Amino acid sequence: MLSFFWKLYSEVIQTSIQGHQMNFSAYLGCFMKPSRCFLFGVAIFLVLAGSGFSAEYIGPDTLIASKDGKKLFVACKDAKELMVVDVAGRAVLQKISLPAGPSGVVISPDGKKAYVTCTAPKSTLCVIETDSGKILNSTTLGHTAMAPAVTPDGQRIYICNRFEAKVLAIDLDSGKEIASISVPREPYCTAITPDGKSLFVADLLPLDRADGSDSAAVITAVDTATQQATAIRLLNGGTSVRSLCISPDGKYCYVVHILARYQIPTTQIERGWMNTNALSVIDVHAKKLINTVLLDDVDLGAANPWSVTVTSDGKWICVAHAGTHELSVIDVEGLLEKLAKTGDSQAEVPNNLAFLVDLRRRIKLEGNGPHGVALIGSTAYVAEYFTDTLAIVDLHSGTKNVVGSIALGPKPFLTDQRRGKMLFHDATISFQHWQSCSSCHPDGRVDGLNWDLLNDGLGNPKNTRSLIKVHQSGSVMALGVRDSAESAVRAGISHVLFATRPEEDAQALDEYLRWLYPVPSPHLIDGKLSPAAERGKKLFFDAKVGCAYCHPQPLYTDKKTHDVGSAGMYDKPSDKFNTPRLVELWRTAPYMHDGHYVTLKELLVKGKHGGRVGDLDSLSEAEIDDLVEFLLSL
Amino acid sequence: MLIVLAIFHQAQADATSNPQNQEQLHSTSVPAEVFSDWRLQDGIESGKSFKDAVLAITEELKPETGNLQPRIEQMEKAASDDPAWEQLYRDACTLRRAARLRTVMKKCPRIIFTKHYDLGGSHYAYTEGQSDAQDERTFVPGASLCLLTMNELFGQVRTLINDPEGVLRDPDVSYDGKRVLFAWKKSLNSDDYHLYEYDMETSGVRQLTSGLGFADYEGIYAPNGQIIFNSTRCVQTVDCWWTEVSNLYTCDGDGRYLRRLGFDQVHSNYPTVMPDGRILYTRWEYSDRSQMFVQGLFQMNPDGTSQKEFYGNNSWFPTSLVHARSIPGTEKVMAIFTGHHTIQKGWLGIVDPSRGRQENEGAQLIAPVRETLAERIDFYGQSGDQFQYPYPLGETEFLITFKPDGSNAPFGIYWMDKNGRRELLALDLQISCNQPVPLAARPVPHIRPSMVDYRKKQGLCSIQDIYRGSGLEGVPRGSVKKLRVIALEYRAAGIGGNENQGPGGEALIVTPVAIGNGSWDVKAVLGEAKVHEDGSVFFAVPARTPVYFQAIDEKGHAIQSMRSWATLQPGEVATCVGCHESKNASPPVNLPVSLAMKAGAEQLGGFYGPPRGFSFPREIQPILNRHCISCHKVPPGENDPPLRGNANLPSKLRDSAFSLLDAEVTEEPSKRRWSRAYLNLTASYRKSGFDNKNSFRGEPEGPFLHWISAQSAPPMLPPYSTGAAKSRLITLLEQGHGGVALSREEMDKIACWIDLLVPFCGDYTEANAWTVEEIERYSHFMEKRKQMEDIERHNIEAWIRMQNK
Repeated sequence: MLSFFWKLYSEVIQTSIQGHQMNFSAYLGCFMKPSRCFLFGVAIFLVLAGSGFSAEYIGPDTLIASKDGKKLFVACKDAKELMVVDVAGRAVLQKISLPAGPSGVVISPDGKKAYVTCTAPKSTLCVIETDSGKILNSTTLGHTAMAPAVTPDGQRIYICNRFEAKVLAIDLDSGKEIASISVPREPYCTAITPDGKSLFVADLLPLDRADGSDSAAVITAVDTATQQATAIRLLNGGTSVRSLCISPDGKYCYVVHILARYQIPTTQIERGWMNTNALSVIDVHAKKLINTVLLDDVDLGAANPWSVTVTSDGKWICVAHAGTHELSVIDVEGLLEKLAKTGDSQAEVPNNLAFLVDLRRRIKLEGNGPHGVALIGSTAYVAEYFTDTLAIVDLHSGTKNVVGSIALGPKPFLTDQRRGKMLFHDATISFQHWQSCSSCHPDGRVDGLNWDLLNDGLGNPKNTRSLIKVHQSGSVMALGVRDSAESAVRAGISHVLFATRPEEDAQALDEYLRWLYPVPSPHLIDGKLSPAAERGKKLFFDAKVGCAYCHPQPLYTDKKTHDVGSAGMYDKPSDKFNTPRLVELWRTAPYMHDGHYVTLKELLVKGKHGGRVGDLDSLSEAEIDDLVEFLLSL
Repeated sequence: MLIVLAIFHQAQADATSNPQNQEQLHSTSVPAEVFSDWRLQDGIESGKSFKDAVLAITEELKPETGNLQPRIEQMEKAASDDPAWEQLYRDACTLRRAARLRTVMKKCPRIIFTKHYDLGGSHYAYTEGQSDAQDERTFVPGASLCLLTMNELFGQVRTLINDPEGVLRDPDVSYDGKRVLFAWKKSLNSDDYHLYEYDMETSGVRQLTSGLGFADYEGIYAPNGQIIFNSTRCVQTVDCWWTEVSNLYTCDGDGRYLRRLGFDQVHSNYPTVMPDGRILYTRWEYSDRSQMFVQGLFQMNPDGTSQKEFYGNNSWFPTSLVHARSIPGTEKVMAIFTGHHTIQKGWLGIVDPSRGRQENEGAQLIAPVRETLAERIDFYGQSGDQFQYPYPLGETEFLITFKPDGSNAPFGIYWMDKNGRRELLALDLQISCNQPVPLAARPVPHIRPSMVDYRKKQGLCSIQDIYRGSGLEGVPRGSVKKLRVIALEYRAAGIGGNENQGPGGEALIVTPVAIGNGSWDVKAVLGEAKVHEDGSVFFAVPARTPVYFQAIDEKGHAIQSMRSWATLQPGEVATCVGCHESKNASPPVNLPVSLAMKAGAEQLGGFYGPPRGFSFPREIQPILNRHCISCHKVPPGENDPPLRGNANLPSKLRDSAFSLLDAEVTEEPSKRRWSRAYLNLTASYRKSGFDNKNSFRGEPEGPFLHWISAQSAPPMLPPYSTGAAKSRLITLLEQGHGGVALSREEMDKIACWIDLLVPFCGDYTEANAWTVEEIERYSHFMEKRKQMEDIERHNIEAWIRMQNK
C-alpha cells in the first residue's frame, strides 16, 4: 500500500517538476472525488512527513552573504524560493516565494536590497528588501536570465539573458535597459571589478566548429563606461564555464571550467584523458589569459567545478566541485608565484596534473552536489544542491574543515528520477572521479565538442548529442551503434565512466533522461512561431524541399540512418548517419555528426544538407533564412 | 582498574591440537615484552631516568594527561631514582598506549597476521621455494595463521592454523571481513604454495588452486570478485640467477579460469588493491639495462590492462620498493625501501608520485621522517630499525611488522605513527610475527569494468605524437620514420651462464643468448609501424605478449629504445601521448585527430620475413658470407686466441683483416657455440668475473660496434646515445669499405642486430653446447610451460563461454 502511495506521489512530483504545474488535487481528481482526494493526499503527506523525508526538492544553487555577514540569501532553484538563513543560529529564518526558480542573487552595495533573477522564457528580476524579505518590485527580463551583477556604485545591474546570448545593462533607478551586449553563446556567469570599470562574462559553452583545431568558450570583458566588449578565449577544449570571480585587488579574474581533451580517442579517463577540470587566471587589466591550471590531481579528478570565489583578504580561492562533492582551497600567493616562475614550461602548465601540489587542499563535503559558495571571513557556506543543505567549512588548515551543516528542509527522499539526476551529475561513480555524465552533457544537452568514442571505431570523433527525448528515438549515437537509449546509458557507464553500477542506477538515469523536457525556443514570440518561422515551417513541410522526409514530427526524426552526403574528413565512405532529433536545435550547435557547421545556414548553404532528398538549391536566401528561423524555433 | 590481557607465544603450541583454543592470560601487569619495548623506545635502556621519561610522555599526551599531572606534582620532591617513578612510568605508558591505539581499537580491533620466517633469499623476491626448483630454494618450515584481538589494551592471539612442516603466508581479508585468503605450502618437496581461503565463521579451510611444481602465492581479493596472485606458472627462469620467475595471474573466487595477466621478464610481487581499484605491485625488470636498480612500482587494472609505471622505472633509487600499499584518503603509498640482494625488510617510506616518479623526487623515509637521499646501494636500508609489510590506517598511523634496532627478538606486529612512535601488539620470541591485515569489512574499491575481450588476439596501440616526451627530446620533427616493435621471449630454464658488467653493475646471465653485455633475452622483431608526419603511430600488437619499441630513423637506426616493455590484453586499446611522456601530465589540449588514427590501425608485417627470434647465425652471418669473408677469412685457429677484443692483441693483428667466418667457438661457461665472426665483431674477450666464469664478454663501446650495454644505467638515455647510428661498422659499410655494397635489407638487418644489443641466439636452444642431460632438462621445463599454457588456453575458453552465457 505504501509503495502505491509513494508511486502515486512521486509521479505527481515528477509531473509538477516538469513544469506542467498540475497540482496534487487536480491529479488525484482525475479519478477521485475531491474530498477523498484531499484526504488521500493528506494521508500520503503524513506518511512521508512521518518518515522525515520529503520528495519536494529545495535545490539550493547560489547564495550570497549579507553585508554584515549575519544572513545568507540562498537561491533555491527547485523550491522557487529565496531562503534567508540566520548564520549564527544556523537556521532558516524566512522563505520568500518567487515567480520562478531563482538563478542568481546579488546584494546592493548598501546591503539593503537583494536582486534575484528568476529563470523562465520570460524571466523576472525581483528586488527584495533584505531586512523584511519583501519583494519591492519585479521587472520582466529575457530568456533564462541569470548571473546578476551590480556595479559598486549601486547604479546599474548587469544580467545575462542566457538563451538570447545577451548581457543586459539596466539602470537601477529608472529600471531602463542601458545596453545590450551580444556574446557568442549562453552567457552564464558574471563578475564586476571592485572599481566597477570592467565586467567579465563567461559563456557556458564554445561556439566553434568541433572538427577544427580550436574550440573554446569565450570570456567577454566589458568596459562598463563604453560597453565595449573584448573577447578572451579559453584554451582549446574550454567548456562548461560555470563561474568566475575577481580578486579583491581587482587584478585577476579567476574562471573555473572543464578543459576537455576532446581530440584524442577516449581509451581511458585516467590522467584526464577526456575531461580535466581547470582554473583559468585572467589578467584583468590586459584582458588576457595568463594561464590555466588543472584542479585535478594525478590520479584523482576534481570533476565539474561549479563555482569559484575568493576570500576578502585575497588569500584563498575556493572552488566547489559539483562532481566530487568537494571544496578546493587554493593558496593564491603560491599560485601566482608559481605561475610567474613557469618560464619556458608555461605551455605545459595546463597539462600538469601536479601543479597545485602543496598549493591546494581538497575538503570532502558531506552533502551532494556543491554549487554556490558564500564566504564570511574564513568560513565558507556551500550550497549542496541534491541534499538541500548548506555545508559550513572552516578554511583554515589543520582543522576539521567541515564544522557544520544547515538543513534547509527535510531530508529529501529521492525518487528514481531525482536520483537519476543526482547520478548524472556525480563523478564519484566514475573511475578516479574524472567526470560525470553531465561533464559532456551539461544540463543533459551538449558541450559543443566532438568525442572519439570507441563504439564506432577510432579516429572518427562525433559531436556530442543532446539527450532530450533520446529515449523516444530508437537507435542512438551518430552511427546508430546503440539500439536504444537504454543500452547507450549502460554503455556510457561502462565505457565513458569506466564504472560498474547496479542496474537500478542505470534505470534511474533512464528516468531522469526521460523526464528532461524541451525549453521553449528563444526564437518564439510569446510562445509562438514568428512570421518568418511560420514561412520557414511551410518550406520545411513542403514535399519539394523535403526536410520532413527524414525529419518528421513530433521529434523531427525518422529514427533511421542515412547517407546524406555529410561524411566528413574522418568518416568512412560506408558510414550512414542517424537522423538527429531537431528538438531544441537552437541550443545544440555546432551541427552535424562531426560538428562541422557552426550555424544552420552554413549547414544548408555550404553543406547543402538535404540536397540529396529535396531541392534546397532553388530556395532564395530569404527563404533559407525563414527555414533556419523555423528550425531554431523548435 | 585495567584488566591486562597478556599475549603471545605460549598459545600457539596448544592451538595446533585445538584451533579454537583462545588464550586469555589474565595478569595485573603489563606484558613483559611490551614493557621492555616501552623501555627501549623511551631510552630507559640507554640510561634515561623514569622521571624524564614520564615527563616526556606527559608532554606527548597533552592535553589528555589523565591523572599524570597531579601524580607528577606529588612526586616532585622524590628523587629521580625513587622506585615510585617506575610505577608512574608504567602507568604513563599505559595511558599513552590507550591514546595511541585509539584508531586500532575503534577501527580494527581484530587483526589477522602470520608467523613465518623472514621471506627472501639471495634476492628479495626468491620466496617461491618451489618443489622442483632448479637451484636456489628458500623455505623454512613452521608457520601459523593467527588472529589478534584487541578488545583490551593488550590483545589476545588465537592461532587459526598452525603448520610446523609448512609455511602459511600473505593473508588478505575479503571485503565483507568474513574470509581470509592466504598461501600455504605444506612441505618442502611434496607441495607448493597454493591459495587457500579460511572462513572466519566456520573455521573451514578450502583450497582454491593446486598443482605440484607451481607456486601460487601473494593472493589478493580484487574488487570485481576475482583473485589476483603471483605464480610460477609462467615457467621462466630469472635471467641472472637459477631461480623461478613469478608473474601476476588471476582466477575467480573459486580458483577457476586461472590465467596470466603479467608477461614479465622476471618477478612481479606483492600486489595490493588501491582505493580506485587499480592493482599496485613491485615489478623487477631489466630489459637492456642493469638488473640491480631498480625494483620499482607498477600499476595495472584488475583485468591486466593499463600496465604502467607507478614509481621509479628510470631511477637508481630506491633500490627496491616492496610491500607497497595505498594510504587511505590519499594518492600516496607506503612501502618498504630495501635493497636488491636482501630479504624482504628495510626502511619505511611514503611514495607520492605527484611530486615526481624517479629517484627521491616522490620518496620520503618515515618513522622517523628524515632526509631521503637518492643513493645507489645494493643492500639499501639494512641497518637500524627494520620494517616489513606496512598496513596504513591513515597518513600518519599504520600497522607494521617491525624489529627495533639492536633487538635480538624476531619481527613483531606493532602500531606505529610516521614519527616512529609505536606500540607492540604481538610478538613471538620463537618466530617472526608478520603481515598484519585488519579483519574488518571495508568498502569495495571502484569496480572498473573489464575491457578485455579474450576472443581477440590483438590489442591496439596508438601514439599521438612521438616527439612529445623526454625520450626524443631535441630530436627534430620528421626524424622518426618508423616505430620498431619487438617481442621479448624468456628462458624456461637456466643452463650455462656468462657475465656482464657496466654502469649499472654486474651480473650473471643464465642460458645466455649473447656474449656478456649483449642482450639479456631473445628478441623477435614483429614489424615496424609507420610514424606519420605528425608523429602519430597506430598499430596492432599481439596481445599477452611483452613488446618494446624503438624509434627508427630513415637509415633504419634506433634513435631511442624503450628498455622496458608493454603488454596489452586482448582487445585493449592503449594510447600514449609520446615517447616517455610525463605520467603526471594530461594529454596536451592541442592534439588533433592524428594522421595515424585517420589511416587506421596498421598490421605489423614482420621484419624482412615473419616475426622470428633474431639470430646472428641466421640473419647476419649470411650477409658476412656474401660480402665479407672473401677478405675476412682468417682460418680458424690462426688468430685464435687471441680474438679482436683482446686489448693485448698486437696492433698489427688488430688492424689486419680478421675472421668473419662462422667458425664455431665453443665456450664452456656459457655453454654456447658462438662464432668467430660474432666474437670478433662484438670485440669479445674472455673475462674472469665475480663468479670466476672466464666467459666471453663483449665491448659495448668497441672498435666496430656501439650498443646499449645490458648493464646500462637506469635513467633515460639521450636519443642517439649509442647503437647502430654510433657504430663504426655502419659508417665503414656506408663508405663502401672494401668495395662492398650492401642492400638496404642487409644494412637494416645489421643495424637492427646492433640495436637489439647484438643477440646471437634467436632461440634459447640455438647454438647450444649442452649435454644430453641439459637438453633434456631444458625440454622438460619447456614441456612444463606448454602444459600450463594448454591448461590456460582451456581456462580462457571456459571464461569466454561463461562471459557469453
